Amino acid sequence: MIRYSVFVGLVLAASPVMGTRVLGIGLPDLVKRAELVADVEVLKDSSSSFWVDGRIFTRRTALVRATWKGFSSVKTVNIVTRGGVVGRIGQRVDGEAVLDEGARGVAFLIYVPSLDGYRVVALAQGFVPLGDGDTALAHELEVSVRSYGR
Amino acid sequence: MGVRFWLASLASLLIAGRAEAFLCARVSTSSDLGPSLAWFSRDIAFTLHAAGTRDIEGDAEFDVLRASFEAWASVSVPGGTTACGLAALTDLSFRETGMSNIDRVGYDFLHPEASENLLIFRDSGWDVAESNVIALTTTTYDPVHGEILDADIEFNSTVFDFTVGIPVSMDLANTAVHEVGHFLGLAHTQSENDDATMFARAVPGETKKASLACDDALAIVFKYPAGEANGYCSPPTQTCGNCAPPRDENGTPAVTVIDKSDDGRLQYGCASMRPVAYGILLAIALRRFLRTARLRRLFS
Repeated sequence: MIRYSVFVGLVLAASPVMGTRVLGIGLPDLVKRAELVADVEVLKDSSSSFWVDGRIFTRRTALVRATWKGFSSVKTVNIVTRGGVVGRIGQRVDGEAVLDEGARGVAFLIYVPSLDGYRVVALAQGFVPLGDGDTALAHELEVSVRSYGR
Repeated sequence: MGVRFWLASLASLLIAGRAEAFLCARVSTSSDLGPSLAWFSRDIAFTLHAAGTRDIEGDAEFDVLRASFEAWASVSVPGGTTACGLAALTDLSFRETGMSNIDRVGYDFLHPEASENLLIFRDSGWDVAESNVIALTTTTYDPVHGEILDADIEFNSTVFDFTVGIPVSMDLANTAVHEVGHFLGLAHTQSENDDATMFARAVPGETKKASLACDDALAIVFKYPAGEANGYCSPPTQTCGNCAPPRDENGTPAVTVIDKSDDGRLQYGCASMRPVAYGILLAIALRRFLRTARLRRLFS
Protein backbone atom coordinates (compact mmCIF):
# COMPACT_ATOMS: atom_id res chain seq x y z
CA MET A 1 0.00 0.00 0.00
CA ILE A 2 2.83 2.35 0.89
CA ARG A 3 4.65 1.41 -2.29
CA TYR A 4 1.50 2.10 -4.29
CA SER A 5 1.07 5.44 -2.60
CA VAL A 6 4.64 6.35 -3.39
CA PHE A 7 4.06 5.49 -6.99
CA VAL A 8 0.91 7.49 -7.26
CA GLY A 9 2.69 10.39 -5.66
CA LEU A 10 5.66 10.00 -7.98
CA VAL A 11 3.49 9.76 -11.03
CA LEU A 12 1.42 12.77 -10.11
CA ALA A 13 4.41 14.77 -8.98
CA ALA A 14 6.29 13.98 -12.14
CA SER A 15 3.50 15.28 -14.35
CA PRO A 16 4.45 18.86 -15.18
CA VAL A 17 0.98 20.31 -15.42
CA MET A 18 -2.20 18.67 -14.33
CA GLY A 19 -4.40 19.71 -17.19
CA THR A 20 -6.66 22.59 -18.10
CA ARG A 21 -8.83 21.49 -15.21
CA VAL A 22 -8.64 17.84 -14.28
CA LEU A 23 -9.30 15.28 -11.67
CA GLY A 24 -6.08 13.67 -10.56
CA ILE A 25 -5.82 10.16 -11.89
CA GLY A 26 -3.92 7.36 -10.21
CA LEU A 27 -1.52 4.92 -11.79
CA PRO A 28 -3.95 1.96 -11.90
CA ASP A 29 -6.43 4.09 -13.83
CA LEU A 30 -3.78 5.30 -16.24
CA VAL A 31 -2.75 1.73 -16.96
CA LYS A 32 -6.34 0.60 -17.36
CA ARG A 33 -7.19 3.35 -19.83
CA ALA A 34 -4.07 2.97 -21.94
CA GLU A 35 -3.77 0.50 -24.79
CA LEU A 36 -0.03 0.92 -24.86
CA VAL A 37 2.33 1.84 -22.04
CA ALA A 38 5.92 2.26 -23.06
CA ASP A 39 9.22 3.82 -22.19
CA VAL A 40 9.71 6.11 -25.16
CA GLU A 41 12.15 8.67 -26.48
CA VAL A 42 10.93 11.41 -28.78
CA LEU A 43 13.04 11.48 -31.92
CA LYS A 44 14.59 14.75 -33.05
CA ASP A 45 13.21 16.46 -36.17
CA SER A 46 10.22 14.16 -36.13
CA SER A 47 7.43 16.59 -35.40
CA SER A 48 4.87 17.94 -37.80
CA SER A 49 1.84 20.03 -37.02
CA PHE A 50 -1.40 19.96 -38.94
CA TRP A 51 -4.95 21.28 -38.92
CA VAL A 52 -8.03 19.18 -38.22
CA ASP A 53 -11.32 21.10 -38.26
CA GLY A 54 -9.97 24.27 -36.72
CA ARG A 55 -7.68 22.54 -34.25
CA ILE A 56 -3.92 22.12 -34.53
CA PHE A 57 -2.31 18.83 -33.59
CA THR A 58 1.34 17.87 -33.57
CA ARG A 59 2.53 14.41 -34.46
CA ARG A 60 5.90 13.23 -33.17
CA THR A 61 7.66 9.94 -33.66
CA ALA A 62 9.04 8.26 -30.59
CA LEU A 63 11.41 5.35 -30.28
CA VAL A 64 10.00 2.61 -28.09
CA ARG A 65 12.70 1.57 -25.66
CA ALA A 66 10.47 -0.90 -23.84
CA THR A 67 6.81 -1.88 -23.88
CA TRP A 68 5.17 -2.51 -20.55
CA LYS A 69 1.62 -2.98 -21.76
CA GLY A 70 0.48 -3.64 -25.32
CA PHE A 71 2.20 -4.94 -28.43
CA SER A 72 5.84 -5.60 -27.60
CA SER A 73 6.98 -5.68 -31.22
CA VAL A 74 6.35 -1.98 -31.74
CA LYS A 75 9.61 -0.19 -32.51
CA THR A 76 8.35 3.35 -32.99
CA VAL A 77 5.08 5.09 -32.34
CA ASN A 78 3.49 8.28 -33.58
CA ILE A 79 2.23 10.34 -30.66
CA VAL A 80 -0.23 13.12 -31.42
CA THR A 81 -0.81 15.98 -29.00
CA ARG A 82 -3.06 18.99 -29.13
CA GLY A 83 -1.48 22.27 -30.09
CA GLY A 84 1.40 23.37 -32.27
CA VAL A 85 2.26 25.95 -34.88
CA VAL A 86 1.28 25.88 -38.54
CA GLY A 87 2.59 28.81 -40.55
CA ARG A 88 1.78 32.01 -38.64
CA ILE A 89 -0.85 30.45 -36.39
CA GLY A 90 -0.16 28.74 -33.10
CA GLN A 91 -2.54 26.90 -30.86
CA ARG A 92 -2.23 25.78 -27.29
CA VAL A 93 -4.24 23.70 -24.83
CA ASP A 94 -3.11 24.24 -21.27
CA GLY A 95 -2.17 21.01 -19.56
CA GLU A 96 -1.49 18.98 -22.69
CA ALA A 97 1.45 16.58 -22.47
CA VAL A 98 4.75 18.22 -23.35
CA LEU A 99 6.86 16.06 -25.64
CA ASP A 100 10.04 17.93 -26.43
CA GLU A 101 12.47 16.55 -28.98
CA GLY A 102 14.78 14.10 -27.30
CA ALA A 103 12.54 13.80 -24.26
CA ARG A 104 12.30 10.44 -22.65
CA GLY A 105 9.45 9.26 -20.52
CA VAL A 106 6.76 6.73 -19.81
CA ALA A 107 3.80 7.28 -22.09
CA PHE A 108 0.29 5.98 -21.51
CA LEU A 109 -1.24 5.88 -24.96
CA ILE A 110 -4.46 5.13 -26.78
CA TYR A 111 -4.62 4.73 -30.56
CA VAL A 112 -6.76 7.11 -32.61
CA PRO A 113 -7.09 5.95 -36.23
CA SER A 114 -8.37 9.29 -37.50
CA LEU A 115 -5.17 10.95 -36.33
CA ASP A 116 -2.90 8.12 -37.49
CA GLY A 117 -1.26 7.98 -34.12
CA TYR A 118 -1.56 7.55 -30.39
CA ARG A 119 -2.99 10.14 -28.03
CA VAL A 120 -1.68 10.53 -24.50
CA VAL A 121 -4.20 9.47 -21.89
CA ALA A 122 -5.30 12.15 -19.44
CA LEU A 123 -3.25 14.97 -21.00
CA ALA A 124 0.00 15.67 -19.15
CA GLN A 125 -0.71 13.03 -16.54
CA GLY A 126 -0.22 10.39 -19.20
CA PHE A 127 3.41 11.23 -19.85
CA VAL A 128 5.89 10.84 -17.03
CA PRO A 129 9.25 12.40 -17.96
CA LEU A 130 12.33 10.37 -17.11
CA GLY A 131 15.75 11.93 -16.65
CA ASP A 132 19.12 10.24 -16.80
CA GLY A 133 19.08 9.65 -13.08
CA ASP A 134 15.62 8.14 -12.95
CA THR A 135 16.62 4.50 -13.43
CA ALA A 136 15.12 3.42 -10.14
CA LEU A 137 11.88 5.28 -10.85
CA ALA A 138 11.65 3.73 -14.29
CA HIS A 139 12.13 0.26 -12.83
CA GLU A 140 9.57 0.77 -10.11
CA LEU A 141 7.06 2.16 -12.62
CA GLU A 142 7.62 -0.80 -14.92
CA VAL A 143 6.95 -3.25 -12.12
CA SER A 144 3.75 -1.48 -11.15
CA VAL A 145 2.50 -1.04 -14.71
CA ARG A 146 3.05 -4.71 -15.50
CA SER A 147 1.30 -5.63 -12.29
CA TYR A 148 -1.76 -3.43 -12.93
CA GLY A 149 -1.82 -4.32 -16.61
CA ARG A 150 -2.38 -8.04 -16.08
CA MET B 1 5.86 66.57 -2.87
CA GLY B 2 9.27 65.10 -2.03
CA VAL B 3 7.88 62.80 0.67
CA ARG B 4 5.03 61.67 -1.54
CA PHE B 5 7.43 61.03 -4.38
CA TRP B 6 9.67 58.87 -2.19
CA LEU B 7 6.70 57.02 -0.78
CA ALA B 8 5.44 56.33 -4.28
CA SER B 9 8.90 55.12 -5.26
CA LEU B 10 9.03 52.87 -2.24
CA ALA B 11 5.57 51.53 -3.00
CA SER B 12 6.60 50.87 -6.59
CA LEU B 13 9.68 49.09 -5.40
CA LEU B 14 7.64 46.97 -3.02
CA ILE B 15 5.28 46.03 -5.79
CA ALA B 16 8.16 45.25 -8.11
CA GLY B 17 9.83 43.23 -5.42
CA ARG B 18 6.82 41.04 -4.55
CA ALA B 19 7.43 37.40 -5.48
CA GLU B 20 4.33 36.28 -7.38
CA ALA B 21 3.38 32.72 -8.22
CA PHE B 22 1.13 33.31 -11.21
CA LEU B 23 2.38 32.38 -14.65
CA CYS B 24 1.58 33.67 -18.09
CA ALA B 25 0.90 31.16 -20.84
CA ARG B 26 3.88 31.42 -23.21
CA VAL B 27 4.65 30.68 -26.81
CA SER B 28 6.82 27.59 -26.76
CA THR B 29 9.74 27.71 -29.15
CA SER B 30 12.40 25.14 -29.84
CA SER B 31 15.02 26.93 -27.78
CA ASP B 32 13.14 28.75 -25.05
CA LEU B 33 9.85 30.22 -24.08
CA GLY B 34 8.67 33.03 -26.28
CA PRO B 35 6.35 35.92 -25.53
CA SER B 36 3.45 35.37 -23.22
CA LEU B 37 0.00 35.12 -24.74
CA ALA B 38 -2.29 38.08 -24.39
CA TRP B 39 -5.23 39.78 -26.00
CA PHE B 40 -4.23 42.98 -27.76
CA SER B 41 -7.63 44.48 -27.09
CA ARG B 42 -9.13 45.12 -23.66
CA ASP B 43 -12.64 44.69 -25.07
CA ILE B 44 -13.03 40.95 -25.55
CA ALA B 45 -15.96 39.21 -27.20
CA PHE B 46 -17.35 35.80 -26.33
CA THR B 47 -20.17 33.63 -27.63
CA LEU B 48 -22.25 31.06 -25.78
CA HIS B 49 -23.40 27.91 -27.48
CA ALA B 50 -27.17 27.99 -27.51
CA ALA B 51 -27.70 24.36 -26.44
CA GLY B 52 -26.25 24.91 -22.99
CA THR B 53 -26.21 21.68 -21.01
CA ARG B 54 -28.83 19.16 -19.93
CA ASP B 55 -27.16 19.03 -16.50
CA ILE B 56 -28.62 22.35 -15.45
CA GLU B 57 -32.27 23.31 -15.50
CA GLY B 58 -33.42 26.37 -17.36
CA ASP B 59 -30.73 28.73 -18.60
CA ALA B 60 -28.85 29.17 -15.36
CA GLU B 61 -25.61 27.97 -16.92
CA PHE B 62 -25.51 31.02 -19.19
CA ASP B 63 -25.69 33.43 -16.29
CA VAL B 64 -22.88 31.57 -14.58
CA LEU B 65 -20.70 31.78 -17.67
CA ARG B 66 -21.35 35.50 -18.03
CA ALA B 67 -20.53 36.03 -14.38
CA SER B 68 -17.31 34.07 -14.80
CA PHE B 69 -16.00 36.70 -17.19
CA GLU B 70 -17.12 39.47 -14.88
CA ALA B 71 -15.14 37.88 -12.05
CA TRP B 72 -11.96 38.84 -13.92
CA ALA B 73 -13.22 42.23 -15.03
CA SER B 74 -14.41 43.08 -11.52
CA VAL B 75 -10.83 43.85 -10.57
CA SER B 76 -11.44 47.10 -12.39
CA VAL B 77 -14.66 47.95 -10.61
CA PRO B 78 -14.31 50.44 -7.75
CA GLY B 79 -14.75 48.53 -4.56
CA GLY B 80 -13.99 45.25 -6.35
CA THR B 81 -11.07 42.98 -5.65
CA THR B 82 -8.73 45.48 -4.09
CA ALA B 83 -8.20 43.66 -0.83
CA CYS B 84 -4.82 42.45 -2.07
CA GLY B 85 -3.38 45.93 -1.83
CA LEU B 86 -3.32 46.41 -5.58
CA ALA B 87 -1.83 49.66 -6.70
CA ALA B 88 -3.30 49.29 -10.15
CA LEU B 89 -6.40 47.92 -11.76
CA THR B 90 -7.33 46.26 -15.01
CA ASP B 91 -9.57 47.75 -17.68
CA LEU B 92 -10.73 44.49 -19.22
CA SER B 93 -14.31 44.40 -20.42
CA PHE B 94 -16.24 41.57 -21.97
CA ARG B 95 -18.92 41.64 -24.61
CA GLU B 96 -21.32 38.80 -25.36
CA THR B 97 -22.00 38.48 -29.06
CA GLY B 98 -25.12 36.38 -28.74
CA MET B 99 -25.79 32.66 -28.96
CA SER B 100 -24.33 30.31 -31.53
CA ASN B 101 -25.52 26.99 -32.90
CA ILE B 102 -22.17 26.18 -34.44
CA ASP B 103 -20.32 23.69 -32.27
CA ARG B 104 -16.98 23.87 -34.03
CA VAL B 105 -14.12 24.79 -31.76
CA GLY B 106 -10.84 26.25 -32.94
CA TYR B 107 -9.80 28.79 -35.52
CA ASP B 108 -10.84 29.17 -39.12
CA PHE B 109 -7.60 30.42 -40.62
CA LEU B 110 -9.23 30.85 -44.01
CA HIS B 111 -12.03 33.00 -42.56
CA PRO B 112 -10.65 34.43 -39.31
CA GLU B 113 -13.48 36.95 -39.09
CA ALA B 114 -15.89 34.03 -38.70
CA SER B 115 -14.09 32.59 -35.68
CA GLU B 116 -15.97 32.94 -32.43
CA ASN B 117 -14.65 32.76 -28.88
CA LEU B 118 -17.03 29.97 -28.04
CA LEU B 119 -18.08 28.47 -24.72
CA ILE B 120 -19.73 25.09 -25.24
CA PHE B 121 -20.86 22.12 -23.21
CA ARG B 122 -20.14 18.66 -24.58
CA ASP B 123 -23.01 16.59 -23.24
CA SER B 124 -21.80 13.69 -25.37
CA GLY B 125 -18.84 12.59 -27.43
CA TRP B 126 -16.00 13.68 -25.16
CA ASP B 127 -12.65 12.08 -26.08
CA VAL B 128 -12.38 8.94 -23.97
CA ALA B 129 -8.60 9.45 -23.64
CA GLU B 130 -9.35 12.63 -21.69
CA SER B 131 -12.30 11.50 -19.62
CA ASN B 132 -10.77 12.91 -16.42
CA VAL B 133 -10.48 16.37 -18.00
CA ILE B 134 -13.21 18.60 -16.62
CA ALA B 135 -12.81 21.38 -19.15
CA LEU B 136 -10.45 22.44 -21.93
CA THR B 137 -9.46 25.83 -23.21
CA THR B 138 -8.00 26.00 -26.70
CA THR B 139 -6.13 29.24 -27.39
CA THR B 140 -5.08 30.28 -30.87
CA TYR B 141 -2.34 32.89 -31.15
CA ASP B 142 0.22 34.64 -33.30
CA PRO B 143 3.50 32.87 -32.42
CA VAL B 144 5.63 35.93 -33.19
CA HIS B 145 3.92 38.43 -30.91
CA GLY B 146 1.84 36.16 -28.68
CA GLU B 147 -1.39 37.92 -29.61
CA ILE B 148 -4.38 35.76 -28.79
CA LEU B 149 -6.58 35.49 -31.86
CA ASP B 150 -9.23 33.13 -30.60
CA ALA B 151 -10.06 31.16 -27.47
CA ASP B 152 -12.69 28.48 -26.92
CA ILE B 153 -13.77 26.69 -23.78
CA GLU B 154 -15.30 23.21 -23.76
CA PHE B 155 -16.92 21.73 -20.68
CA ASN B 156 -16.91 17.95 -20.28
CA SER B 157 -20.53 17.44 -19.35
CA THR B 158 -20.31 13.97 -20.90
CA VAL B 159 -18.54 12.66 -17.82
CA PHE B 160 -19.13 15.32 -15.17
CA ASP B 161 -22.41 16.65 -13.84
CA PHE B 162 -22.13 20.41 -13.60
CA THR B 163 -24.21 22.18 -11.01
CA VAL B 164 -25.08 25.74 -10.14
CA GLY B 165 -25.21 26.72 -6.50
CA ILE B 166 -25.28 23.11 -5.30
CA PRO B 167 -21.81 21.93 -4.30
CA VAL B 168 -22.47 18.27 -5.07
CA SER B 169 -20.59 17.48 -8.22
CA MET B 170 -18.69 19.94 -10.38
CA ASP B 171 -19.65 23.48 -9.58
CA LEU B 172 -19.84 25.26 -12.91
CA ALA B 173 -18.58 28.62 -11.66
CA ASN B 174 -15.62 26.95 -9.94
CA THR B 175 -14.55 25.53 -13.31
CA ALA B 176 -15.62 28.38 -15.59
CA VAL B 177 -13.72 31.14 -13.78
CA HIS B 178 -10.57 29.03 -14.03
CA GLU B 179 -11.08 28.42 -17.74
CA VAL B 180 -11.63 32.11 -18.39
CA GLY B 181 -8.22 32.63 -16.79
CA HIS B 182 -6.72 30.44 -19.53
CA PHE B 183 -8.89 32.27 -22.05
CA LEU B 184 -7.10 35.44 -20.94
CA GLY B 185 -3.63 33.94 -21.29
CA LEU B 186 -2.89 32.70 -17.78
CA ALA B 187 -1.27 29.36 -17.14
CA HIS B 188 -1.60 27.32 -13.95
CA THR B 189 -0.19 29.09 -10.95
CA GLN B 190 2.93 27.88 -9.22
CA SER B 191 1.33 28.75 -5.93
CA GLU B 192 0.85 25.87 -3.50
CA ASN B 193 -2.29 27.60 -2.32
CA ASP B 194 -5.16 25.60 -3.75
CA ASP B 195 -7.50 28.50 -3.11
CA ALA B 196 -6.04 30.22 -6.16
CA THR B 197 -8.42 30.10 -9.07
CA MET B 198 -5.60 29.17 -11.45
CA PHE B 199 -4.51 26.20 -9.34
CA ALA B 200 -4.50 23.22 -11.69
CA ARG B 201 -6.63 20.71 -9.87
CA ALA B 202 -10.17 20.70 -8.65
CA VAL B 203 -12.29 18.28 -6.71
CA PRO B 204 -16.03 17.65 -6.87
CA GLY B 205 -18.02 19.92 -4.62
CA GLU B 206 -15.41 22.68 -4.59
CA THR B 207 -16.61 26.26 -5.00
CA LYS B 208 -13.78 28.42 -3.67
CA LYS B 209 -12.10 28.91 -7.02
CA ALA B 210 -15.12 30.79 -8.35
CA SER B 211 -13.71 33.83 -6.53
CA LEU B 212 -10.33 35.21 -7.41
CA ALA B 213 -7.56 34.92 -4.86
CA CYS B 214 -4.88 37.60 -4.60
CA ASP B 215 -2.56 35.62 -6.88
CA ASP B 216 -5.19 35.65 -9.60
CA ALA B 217 -6.07 39.32 -9.21
CA LEU B 218 -2.41 40.27 -9.31
CA ALA B 219 -1.99 38.19 -12.45
CA ILE B 220 -4.72 39.91 -14.38
CA VAL B 221 -3.69 43.36 -13.22
CA PHE B 222 -0.15 42.62 -14.33
CA LYS B 223 -1.20 41.30 -17.73
CA TYR B 224 -3.79 43.97 -18.50
CA PRO B 225 -3.04 47.04 -16.37
CA ALA B 226 -5.52 49.85 -16.80
CA GLY B 227 -4.30 52.45 -19.27
CA GLU B 228 -0.96 50.76 -19.88
CA ALA B 229 0.54 48.27 -22.28
CA ASN B 230 0.21 44.56 -21.58
CA GLY B 231 2.54 43.08 -19.03
CA TYR B 232 4.58 40.13 -20.20
CA CYS B 233 6.17 37.05 -18.70
CA SER B 234 6.15 35.91 -15.10
CA PRO B 235 6.82 39.00 -13.08
CA PRO B 236 8.49 40.57 -11.41
CA THR B 237 11.27 38.20 -10.37
CA GLN B 238 12.57 37.85 -13.91
CA THR B 239 14.77 40.59 -15.21
CA CYS B 240 13.85 42.37 -18.39
CA GLY B 241 16.49 40.43 -20.28
CA ASN B 242 14.78 37.16 -19.48
CA CYS B 243 11.39 38.36 -20.41
CA ALA B 244 11.62 37.48 -24.12
CA PRO B 245 9.56 40.41 -25.39
CA PRO B 246 7.73 39.92 -28.65
CA ARG B 247 9.97 40.04 -31.66
CA ASP B 248 9.26 40.83 -35.27
CA GLU B 249 10.18 38.54 -38.12
CA ASN B 250 13.74 39.86 -38.10
CA GLY B 251 14.12 38.96 -34.46
CA THR B 252 14.13 42.57 -33.30
CA PRO B 253 12.45 43.01 -29.90
CA ALA B 254 9.24 44.96 -30.25
CA VAL B 255 9.25 46.92 -27.02
CA THR B 256 7.19 49.92 -27.99
CA VAL B 257 3.51 50.12 -27.36
CA ILE B 258 1.46 49.34 -30.41
CA ASP B 259 -1.77 51.25 -30.62
CA LYS B 260 -3.92 49.37 -33.06
CA SER B 261 -7.03 51.51 -32.79
CA ASP B 262 -9.17 51.01 -35.82
CA ASP B 263 -12.81 51.05 -34.87
CA GLY B 264 -12.57 53.28 -31.84
CA ARG B 265 -11.57 50.49 -29.49
CA LEU B 266 -8.14 51.04 -28.07
CA GLN B 267 -5.81 48.13 -28.41
CA TYR B 268 -2.62 47.62 -26.51
CA GLY B 269 0.19 45.36 -27.38
CA CYS B 270 3.68 44.21 -26.80
CA ALA B 271 6.14 44.50 -24.01
CA SER B 272 5.63 46.38 -20.84
CA MET B 273 8.45 48.70 -19.85
CA ARG B 274 7.57 48.09 -16.22
CA PRO B 275 10.88 46.63 -14.95
CA VAL B 276 12.83 49.45 -16.61
CA ALA B 277 10.33 52.06 -15.45
CA TYR B 278 10.72 50.99 -11.83
CA GLY B 279 14.49 51.19 -12.16
CA ILE B 280 14.31 54.70 -13.54
CA LEU B 281 11.86 55.77 -10.85
CA LEU B 282 14.14 54.42 -8.13
CA ALA B 283 17.18 56.11 -9.63
CA ILE B 284 15.38 59.45 -9.72
CA ALA B 285 14.19 58.99 -6.15
CA LEU B 286 17.66 58.14 -4.90
CA ARG B 287 19.18 61.10 -6.70
CA ARG B 288 16.68 63.49 -5.14
CA PHE B 289 17.14 61.99 -1.72
CA LEU B 290 20.92 62.30 -1.89
CA ARG B 291 20.68 65.87 -3.13
CA THR B 292 18.34 66.78 -0.27
CA ALA B 293 20.54 65.02 2.27
CA ARG B 294 23.58 66.95 1.02
CA LEU B 295 21.71 70.24 1.28
CA ARG B 296 20.62 69.45 4.82
CA ARG B 297 24.21 68.70 5.83
CA LEU B 298 25.35 72.01 4.27
CA PHE B 299 22.82 74.08 6.23
CA SER B 300 22.82 72.15 9.49
